[in-house]
Amino acid sequence: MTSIIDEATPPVRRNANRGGWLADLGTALRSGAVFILLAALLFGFSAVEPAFANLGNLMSILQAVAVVAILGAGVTVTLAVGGFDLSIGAIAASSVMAASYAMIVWGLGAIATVPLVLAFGALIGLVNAFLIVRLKVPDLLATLSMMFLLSGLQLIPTAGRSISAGLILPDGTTTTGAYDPAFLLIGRASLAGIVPVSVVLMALVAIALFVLTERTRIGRLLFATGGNEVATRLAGASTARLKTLAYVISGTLASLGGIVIAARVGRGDVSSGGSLLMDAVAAALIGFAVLGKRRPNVLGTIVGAVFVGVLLNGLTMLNAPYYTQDFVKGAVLVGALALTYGTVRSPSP
Amino acid sequence: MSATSPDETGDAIHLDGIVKRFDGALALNRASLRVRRGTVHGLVGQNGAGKSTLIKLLAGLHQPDEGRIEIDGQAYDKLTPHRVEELGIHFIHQDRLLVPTFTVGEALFLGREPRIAGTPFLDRRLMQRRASEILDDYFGVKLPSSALISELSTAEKQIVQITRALLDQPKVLVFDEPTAALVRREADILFRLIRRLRDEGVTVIYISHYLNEIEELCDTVTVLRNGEDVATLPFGETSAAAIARLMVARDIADLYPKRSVTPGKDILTLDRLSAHGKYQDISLTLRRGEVLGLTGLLGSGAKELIRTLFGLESATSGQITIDGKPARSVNPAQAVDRHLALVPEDRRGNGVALDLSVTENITLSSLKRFTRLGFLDFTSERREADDLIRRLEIKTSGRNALVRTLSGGNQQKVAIAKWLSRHSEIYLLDEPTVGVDIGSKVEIYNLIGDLAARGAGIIVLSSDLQELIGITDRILVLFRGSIIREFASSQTSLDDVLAASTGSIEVLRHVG
Repeated sequence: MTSIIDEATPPVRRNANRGGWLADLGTALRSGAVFILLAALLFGFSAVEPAFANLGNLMSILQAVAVVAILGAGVTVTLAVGGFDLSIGAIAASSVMAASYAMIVWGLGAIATVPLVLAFGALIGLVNAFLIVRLKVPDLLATLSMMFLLSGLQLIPTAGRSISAGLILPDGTTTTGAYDPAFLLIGRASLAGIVPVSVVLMALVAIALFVLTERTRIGRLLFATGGNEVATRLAGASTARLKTLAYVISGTLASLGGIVIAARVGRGDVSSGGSLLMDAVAAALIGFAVLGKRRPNVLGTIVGAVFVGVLLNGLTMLNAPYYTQDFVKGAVLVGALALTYGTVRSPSP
Repeated sequence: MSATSPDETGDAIHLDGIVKRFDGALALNRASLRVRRGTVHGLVGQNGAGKSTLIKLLAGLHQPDEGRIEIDGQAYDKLTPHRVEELGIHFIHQDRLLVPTFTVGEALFLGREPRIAGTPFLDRRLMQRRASEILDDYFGVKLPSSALISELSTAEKQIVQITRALLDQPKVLVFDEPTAALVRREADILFRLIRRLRDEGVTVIYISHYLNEIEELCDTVTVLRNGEDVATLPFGETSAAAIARLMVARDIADLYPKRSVTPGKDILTLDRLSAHGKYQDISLTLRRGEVLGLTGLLGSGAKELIRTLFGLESATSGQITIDGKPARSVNPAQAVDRHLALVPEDRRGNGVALDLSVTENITLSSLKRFTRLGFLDFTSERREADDLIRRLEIKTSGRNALVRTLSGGNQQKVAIAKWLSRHSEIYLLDEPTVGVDIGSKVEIYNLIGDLAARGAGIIVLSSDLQELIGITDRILVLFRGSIIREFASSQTSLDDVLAASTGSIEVLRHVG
């Protein structure tokens, strides 16, 4: 996987495969399928509903998928090391609560709250890594338990209440703090009045993680760990550290997602982040099909998230009822996985 | 087992003029295989010669493009796996999956569970009885039928597979590389079983890379090369050496190429290295340009010694010195930094990452060399990969091909290339040619010779004694954790080394 460009055109087996240009075309179509479909969707929706194509709407699509894309990028990294992080949804949700608690109960400002919440996410990632790497708990079980634990933990400080200004604490005191207006900018402001801050954050995360995973030695070793952990360790890499890094990245990004949600909603809602886990995992899995990579990749995850966002936004404009959304997401996922795994490779002689 | 048919001399299997193409590439080119009833028939050939394609055709997994398939004298147009099983043809394959969470009893009867007559309920007692009858009769073992498959050893899993086939009273049994994961004693049990089945009238097709097994076991052997059957010979008229020549169209003397290199300075020294309960007082010296053979039975401590050198296990006492400096490594990373290289026995499990590309595997341990300010330098990485693919003659469709798509021998070359890229100087090769076809074996031996000529020190741990004698300078034999003999490879024989490694010498010493 020397570069994205190389990956887009896997070498045709010269001896074994004499399908010729037709096979090449098939490969190219499969690699580009998600992009071709995305273009078709954009074209189709704007033809039917001209309002779809205006800049404001496109930005609102990106804003809608920003959190899912950020979480999905984290999942991608854990998938790369051959793991899985089921706790991201719960980390994001409890980060919403943590941010709200920090500002409303403790009266902290944005400057203190943001690093605090990110550190919280990183810490959860560390705990996950400890369970998985040191105690050898299977990744799915470890992060599933963490999900459970966090969903419960976030309710304890407020005795199950949502957090908003004027909250009455379990001990009877009334809080005096409020959301820092600067914090709210993260979820509500737009650069130059056009690009929402959350979209900028998504782009930064995407670029940073793309570079990390596809362009650096650490990234290569992350994939190698997922490919064959023992072989990678025997090659002299510390797979324990690499896996730890993956879960810390995943946890930190999940808490960043939580910050964006908190800044958008402006309160700590106990039920926030419901479908985040599923959506983020779906984006990462759809990403397998992007550019025919057939493995977790950050670019694919972002494209996957955007693809789902465009589809849902377009359908909503065409008055598709809200309750069809999960069905649409599921259908896209099934299609993408069929695209990734379904093409029968020529059997080796 | 099966009733002996009156036509004792007929063909159990006759594949005639089979042509099979995959995407236009010719896998079988008018290949024929004729197996007489009640014989053990060997099928040999290098990887890619068409063995597995031929067997898959027989199993009904592929359909031939041209040619005839006759079973028991009757022609079949289309075979399906189900039909084949009905005809009494069964396949024993080491990779064939048994459900690991099933009990032995469940696995044995999977898909054909006997029911209590007239009810939908499983007849557990009948299952239990028939399974233990066969296990006891043929293997003389008692596997508790409640044991889980995942708890069994490789040999025991194979027993379960064979028993499963025997429950069906097979006419033909096809063994595909059955001994690849067995130790010698287990293999002997298998051979006795195969002979007994033959005597009971079962026809056996036996596929193996190990020509000595073929020689020991088979009545007839068919050699495949490039998709054609180049010869079918009764074993009375041929030998392992002649077969090897037919397989590679190359002379036997060339099978174990040995570079003569004048050894240089000491590169690795062990001084009274001991690990409690594993090996004790191991002292040895490896010089630059030297190929040192290491052998011993399972439990001799040889494997643990190699693992210790690479930082995977720790020694309890003693010294390891590399280039004059103390060098006990506590993890592989440290060993790699000391220019040690390990090519592990389980290539697919530990040696290469199957779903990464050839390039990614080759540069896995040397990535630092291809990193500028933390970023990968793809151009120089690509150049390195292309260079090593060319130098080692790795047969691949390209540097971006997944290692999974390569043959065993070429995967092994990738596993070694990784260390060439790392500029390693001490190579620990654990069974480097297991499951590798003869052509690639020779290439790997040549590669070992090249490494020695370039001043590397090489330790080859192998249970293939012919190989050790052929390619090493010295052979150390471990027995119960101690070095009991050292041989100069050029002045020893197979029998001597074998006697030493099985401890016969020690027994004599005790008696004497």
